[in-house]
Amino acid sequence: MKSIRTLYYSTLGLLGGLCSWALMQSGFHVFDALSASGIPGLDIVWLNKFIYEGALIGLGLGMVLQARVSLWYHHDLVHIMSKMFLGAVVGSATGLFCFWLGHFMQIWHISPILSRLTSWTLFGLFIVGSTEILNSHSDILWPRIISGGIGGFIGGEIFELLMLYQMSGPEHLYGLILAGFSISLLIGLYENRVTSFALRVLAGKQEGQIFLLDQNKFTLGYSSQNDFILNGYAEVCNLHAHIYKKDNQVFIENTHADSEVLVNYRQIDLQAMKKGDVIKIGTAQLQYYEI
Amino acid sequence: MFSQIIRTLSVCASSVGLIVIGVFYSTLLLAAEEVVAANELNETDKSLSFADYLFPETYFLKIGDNPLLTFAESLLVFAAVLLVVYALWSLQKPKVTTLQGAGFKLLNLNEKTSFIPLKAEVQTLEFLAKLQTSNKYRLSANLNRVTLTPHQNTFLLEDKNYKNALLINRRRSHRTILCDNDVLDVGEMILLYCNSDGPAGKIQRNERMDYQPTVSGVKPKGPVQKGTPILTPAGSQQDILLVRNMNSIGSSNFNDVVISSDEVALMHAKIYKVGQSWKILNLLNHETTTVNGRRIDQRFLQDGDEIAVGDTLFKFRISKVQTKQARRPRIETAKKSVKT
Repeated sequence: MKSIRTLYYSTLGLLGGLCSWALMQSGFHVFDALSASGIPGLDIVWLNKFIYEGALIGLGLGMVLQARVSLWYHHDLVHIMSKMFLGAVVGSATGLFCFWLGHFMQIWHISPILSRLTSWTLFGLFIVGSTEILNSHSDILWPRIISGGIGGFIGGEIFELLMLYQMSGPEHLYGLILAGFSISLLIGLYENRVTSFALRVLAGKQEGQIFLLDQNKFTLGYSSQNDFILNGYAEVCNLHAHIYKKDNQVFIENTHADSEVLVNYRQIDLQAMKKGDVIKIGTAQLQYYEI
Repeated sequence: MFSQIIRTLSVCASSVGLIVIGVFYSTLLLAAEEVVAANELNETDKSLSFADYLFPETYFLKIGDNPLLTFAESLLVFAAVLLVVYALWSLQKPKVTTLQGAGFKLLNLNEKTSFIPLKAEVQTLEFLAKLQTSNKYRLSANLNRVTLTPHQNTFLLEDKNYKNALLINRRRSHRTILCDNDVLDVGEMILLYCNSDGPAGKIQRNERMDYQPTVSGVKPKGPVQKGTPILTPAGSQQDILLVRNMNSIGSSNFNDVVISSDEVALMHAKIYKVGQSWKILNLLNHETTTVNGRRIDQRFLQDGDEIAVGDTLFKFRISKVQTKQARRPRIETAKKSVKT
């Protein structure tokens, strides 16, 4: 299950790269049209100075990477669209900033290759960091953000090498795709290493769905704000339970006085879970196991 | 959603702050460049304005003047990517299986056998031993004494021999009508009972979800010595101190630890001191007491053992520090008894 998720994420990264490539192509046309439109202040000289490529790369990759968890857990489409929109906005801002910084570095006469690598690394760091800040209820996980940075670095390296040997395809298609791929692959690899516990939904509408525990803290409930959403079960509160890791043990905590969390059919407030435990939340039954 | 907006705003604000710092720094650099230019040490850098620093002229990726795709084509590629993302999303849809009739699902990890249908004729649970599984599971030898009898579209499960380690919804039970989504523990096997037949859903066992056996113990009258054993019922914070050398456990009020539950006998078990260690003894042959999941007759207890008396789980600990327990005023309890 873990390796399938890595594959899934890296496929999404590939798609993000392709998406940003397509956006860059359209961006060129849009800027061409804008400069031809004759709006005062918008001439080709000014527009050419603007680093729209960075923003568009960020838009494409951020859109996909922000929604990756929601896509994996099959959340409802509206929720995913909002995630994608948010990711696009934040991603384009971070892309613009990172690639502009790369330019800015050239004041110090640093070689363009080095500055481009720096901006790819920063881009990886920021794009994963922004998903961390926006996405999870957990504390911000620095290792995951750093894994994004490493992914960005490797992606940038591949990009530069392909450029060097002039193999980066039509308009740097392969380079962009591989950069997106490496960012999401590195995140996936880090998450694989961390994940050792999972919750499986036993019956009902979400039967067979597996929640992988890859952060330190999770929320479980009905509303779309949660990490794990139990949709289609009776008597599940908006925020029903917290799951968190502490000292190599996984605890489940009841959040509401009104709601009930049953571990092995006994009502609990806070309990460490064991392999094979059956958790009942509302009418949903979950099984806890180690992978 | 509101918190997310706040987070977005904070991210934007921080990035704007970074940009401002960058701009400020660039003006500082400009000053340095001016000094360099004034000294005429560097002739290559000439007349770079502020805007040139912000938006340098060179293309970052140097996309050619004639892009490969037209505008419509690039939008088409974009839409195709979104379509593939949508396909990936719908691939993740949980596959709900609609099954006919009643049956068991094996819940153990790494098991491929998905569904074991149950036939309507009277049978025993013996078929579980003949099941082809990828791992070997230890099962009780007396499974032929556990019978399944059809009962209004579902089954009645009867354990004719109480020595089977059989749990239904993680509780010991001798006779139960199986409901949809019941979890059975048979030896090491974990089974989920599924029954999609319509009317069967209406048979509801009286809900035992909120049913919680109440446990009460003897209150110590004074400070407690180091080394006193403590029983903690599962899922609660209440500690029961075993202050005596011989502590009886059962549902009768005469016991030191009273558990009000149907699955616990009047005098069920006792925990007593042998030398420096503690021992648990099961008092009735047809009732079960388990330590760490094993059914026992008598056994020495260690710190951290898990004891199950009937259907009630305890954690056994030995206190490592001396605790001071406030003396419980007797007058209050006397008053209460007068009132009642």
